[in-house]
Amino acid sequence: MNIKDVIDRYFVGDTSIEEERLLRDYFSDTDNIDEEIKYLQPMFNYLSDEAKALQVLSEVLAEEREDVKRVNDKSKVRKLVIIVSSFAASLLIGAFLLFGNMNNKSKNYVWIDGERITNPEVVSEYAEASFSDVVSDNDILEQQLGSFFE
Amino acid sequence: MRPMLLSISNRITRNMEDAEDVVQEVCLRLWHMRDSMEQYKNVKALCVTMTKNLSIDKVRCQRIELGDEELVNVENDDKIMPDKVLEEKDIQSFIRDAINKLPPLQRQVLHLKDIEGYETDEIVDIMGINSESVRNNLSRARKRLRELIETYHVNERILL
Repeated sequence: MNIKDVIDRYFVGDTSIEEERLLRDYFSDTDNIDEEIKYLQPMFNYLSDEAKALQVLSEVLAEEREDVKRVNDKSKVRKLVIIVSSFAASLLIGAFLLFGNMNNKSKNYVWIDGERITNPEVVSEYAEASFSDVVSDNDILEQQLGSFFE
Repeated sequence: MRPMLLSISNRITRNMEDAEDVVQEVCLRLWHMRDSMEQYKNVKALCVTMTKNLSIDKVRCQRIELGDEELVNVENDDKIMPDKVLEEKDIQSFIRDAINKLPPLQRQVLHLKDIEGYETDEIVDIMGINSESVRNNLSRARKRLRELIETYHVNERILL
């Protein structure tokens, strides 16, 4: 491939990406450049250096965006863990209070014929029955006064 | 921001010591510019650009074979740069200015094609112009750069 032909087509805008890469490689080899076209070396080196630097910049900035995204994702996960933990703690406290109250109810009991009864309805029935057998002071007074007036 | 700048410079120069020097230089320049920082909308972009340019300059300096030339001036112990390095810095600066002075359309097409590596079809989509226009603007930009570099070399020879 005649390098001068490629150069002529380069300045007309007719070269492919591969041919332009070839030109850059040619001009990066300081020792083997034709004297006639050596003056173009700084131009190709400049463009080559800028292209490499831009690629490095793109990579570094892309990595930085990834790092920022990773930090943001971690922060979101942390917030979610806090919310879920708070909810779970609220549920536990609620359950404790509810269950605790239910347990307190079962602490009420009576002994009937040697048997410990904890059913609130049964306890209530026996309590009412027991109270109905108790004669009040008013009833005693009424009975005595009644016999007095007979 | 320092770790990011170090990473950029290290990847360009492929030398951690040089990268440290570059970032130090960037910090120093920022310090000298501290009173006029308000004019820059994006300080991060400024730092990244400075780091990139200084790193490329480092690579270009290393590319030049210094051989056995002494870098230290015997008379006053000041460090001096070899002529080749200065010449390289000058012409690269010249090319950067030349590209910046191109008409906007030519500059953009040249940047997209020769620096960002886009294909012609992609440039057509990005810029909303046809492929013939891409080709023409690219050709004009490249030819303009060639003329300026030829003039630069002629002037250098005249000076010598």
